[in-house]
Amino acid sequence: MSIKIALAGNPNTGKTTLFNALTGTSQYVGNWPGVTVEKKGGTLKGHRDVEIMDLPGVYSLSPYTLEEVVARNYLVTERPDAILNIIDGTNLERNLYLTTQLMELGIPVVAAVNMMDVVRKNGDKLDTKKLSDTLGCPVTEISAIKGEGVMEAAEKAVEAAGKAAVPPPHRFNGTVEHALAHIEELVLHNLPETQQRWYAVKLFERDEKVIQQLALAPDKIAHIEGDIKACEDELDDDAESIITAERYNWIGSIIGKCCRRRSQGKLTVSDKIDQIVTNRILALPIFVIVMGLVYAISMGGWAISIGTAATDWANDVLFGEWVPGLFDTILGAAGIAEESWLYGLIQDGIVAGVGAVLGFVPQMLVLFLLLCILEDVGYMARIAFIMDRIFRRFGLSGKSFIPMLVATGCGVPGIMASRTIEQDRDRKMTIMTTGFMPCGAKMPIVGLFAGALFGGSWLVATSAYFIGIAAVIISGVMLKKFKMFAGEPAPFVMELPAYHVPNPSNVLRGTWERGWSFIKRAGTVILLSSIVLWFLQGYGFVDGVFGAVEDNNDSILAAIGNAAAWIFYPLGWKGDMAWKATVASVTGLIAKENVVDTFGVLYHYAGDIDLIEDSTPLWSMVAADFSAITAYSFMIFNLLCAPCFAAMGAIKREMNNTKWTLGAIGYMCGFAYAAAMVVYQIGGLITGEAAFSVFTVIAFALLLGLIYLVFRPYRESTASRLNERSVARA
Amino acid sequence: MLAYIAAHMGYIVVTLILVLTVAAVIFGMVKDHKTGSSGCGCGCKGCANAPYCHPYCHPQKDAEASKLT
Repeated sequence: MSIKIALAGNPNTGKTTLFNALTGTSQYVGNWPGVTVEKKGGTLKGHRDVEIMDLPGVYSLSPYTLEEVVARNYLVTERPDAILNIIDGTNLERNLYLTTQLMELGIPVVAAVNMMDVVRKNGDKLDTKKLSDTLGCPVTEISAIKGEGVMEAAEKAVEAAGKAAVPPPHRFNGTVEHALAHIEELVLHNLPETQQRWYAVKLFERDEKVIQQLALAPDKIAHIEGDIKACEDELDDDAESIITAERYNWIGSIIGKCCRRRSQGKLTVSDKIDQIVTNRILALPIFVIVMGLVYAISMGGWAISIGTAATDWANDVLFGEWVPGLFDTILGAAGIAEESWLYGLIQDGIVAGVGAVLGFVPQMLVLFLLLCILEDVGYMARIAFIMDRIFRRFGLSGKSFIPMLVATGCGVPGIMASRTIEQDRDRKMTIMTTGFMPCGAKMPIVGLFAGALFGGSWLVATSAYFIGIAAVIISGVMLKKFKMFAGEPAPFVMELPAYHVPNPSNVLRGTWERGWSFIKRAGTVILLSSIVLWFLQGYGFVDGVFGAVEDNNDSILAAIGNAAAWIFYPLGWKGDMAWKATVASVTGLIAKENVVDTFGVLYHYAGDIDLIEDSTPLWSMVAADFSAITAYSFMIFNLLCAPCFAAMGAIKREMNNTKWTLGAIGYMCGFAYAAAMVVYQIGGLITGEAAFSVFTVIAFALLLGLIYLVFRPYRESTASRLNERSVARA
Repeated sequence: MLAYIAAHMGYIVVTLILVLTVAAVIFGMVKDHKTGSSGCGCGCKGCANAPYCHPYCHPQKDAEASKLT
């Protein structure tokens, strides 16, 4: 690679969309700020010698967040040949703040004003020629989402890469310039001239990282401090604020010259929608209705529930008739007898197990499609904003909800996403609670029980989502009252992207990639698990002799399951289903899809029903073993208990501490157990299914304990509210 | 011996295919694990949320993260 071009800009300005358009790659494009948390490289289409680097979105080059560290380190230490600065044309003022800093790096900059289609639609006018003259760098108009002007912008950046950087046109107040000149002369004269200004400004701002990097002697630092102090005294402000204000003053003057806004002061369509969608009273009911609709369409039993209709077909026809029929033909042609172990392994183990999981792919795809549309439209970012209000009440910020949104796809990236939370206690609490969200792998469990016992009711799937959120909130309220988690939440600042029509390629790509992960796991982990499960439930000791068993209640798996089933007795897992439910919950730790896989193998093998002849044997057999209340208890336990091993590994990596890891997993299991026990014992008492026993007393005690912990006064927050009131009175 | 093989050719071929499939799956999973390219058993390439896991796929991010703290 001979030319390196960095894509830099504010969060959610379309850098990754532009990156994909320029390189032909398909990196994940999300419609909330902070999707890209690390740099990614690619080759410019038609220019094999040009490398494009997509940097995380940043508002400034101050090292406050992980994204800013990544972007700044790359720009300052690796120094690309040119910077293609993506500017959101609908919000020039804030975007140009970063541009003024990029211009000081001594690297050629090309400004690409994105979302020009929206600017024109709003009736605003932008004179890019004048903007270019004022900024002193080429300025080009683009629409990354429509692919307009993107290659021209890249060509300009390639052209600029061969030229020397233009000195930044912006000059600060005379006093500041004097101090900067002094700093340059004192400690920066050995650096290339083009780089001196950026370092001087950063030293003026007392940037600790830069002071460390330059390894300045204490006497020089003291000298610089004297200059800064004199400047601060004269301008009656702190150094960082002086620089910020000066930059914004200059930007204001540029915008006055180059931009005419017809929509100035008017509410945009997004603003008008947000008045309803993020309304203090309406926001939550709208959120519940939206998510209810999402789960109803993907997993409900309505006429519009296309996910369920497709899954029914996949279960009944594809994996109920066609696939077993196909294998039957192939195995028959190969001369493999139906009574042989090989036939059993393939049909009763692999086809039944993997098929049981793959049968839910249509529901998953519809669910992922709807979630991707909500994300691309811009609604998911609003949910984080809405949840911030609720989360803040118990000491977590809306930033903690971003990992939870991600976790609805897969828990592992959800847990990883928590590392963007700066406060250690909030990060730990987010890691502990993110696993409560129903990830894609848990949804087949919901689909199975909703179909088998609740007539495909949309309420079951929707309740799974809100049980996850409720578990997060209840845990947050309780944990914040313990010393190790106490403290005020970090401020959450998030720019809400403008609503737009979903981009079909983004939505379809996101849906397919999430769905493909699900399918790939079925072909790897689930396939291996099916084989092991088939063996363990098909073989055992009968009358002291090891061999294939007629009834899988005599199998090795049944023996193992029965040995541990007593643990779950208070949850209502009794009788023949007890060991099956126990084994399914344990195998679910390998991968959550394994729960359905296990039922697929166990019920297929145990049944007299032939898959090929009866279209829905799994559902009917599950329905025969479980009651509505035990099914719900089982579902709640498996939704809330320890996540899969991969997610546990992610918890271990992020916690970086064995005690915290075990604590987090133990807490999740304990919470899940308590919740499932309360549901079965109290629910069973009401329905008459469970008799009053010592476990009922324990369940009531747990419920009361939970209520006490939730409503126990929170000293810090009380103190904080009192302080706020006293400040308000003052 | 040959007669036995000929009589059980179907069993041998299907078993062989099954063993090779399982071996390929295990090999792929071990390879993913060793290269650190997968945090959840499905690989980063096809994952929509890979940017969130990339610290695991690309250890240099850990170094950058540690600089922050």
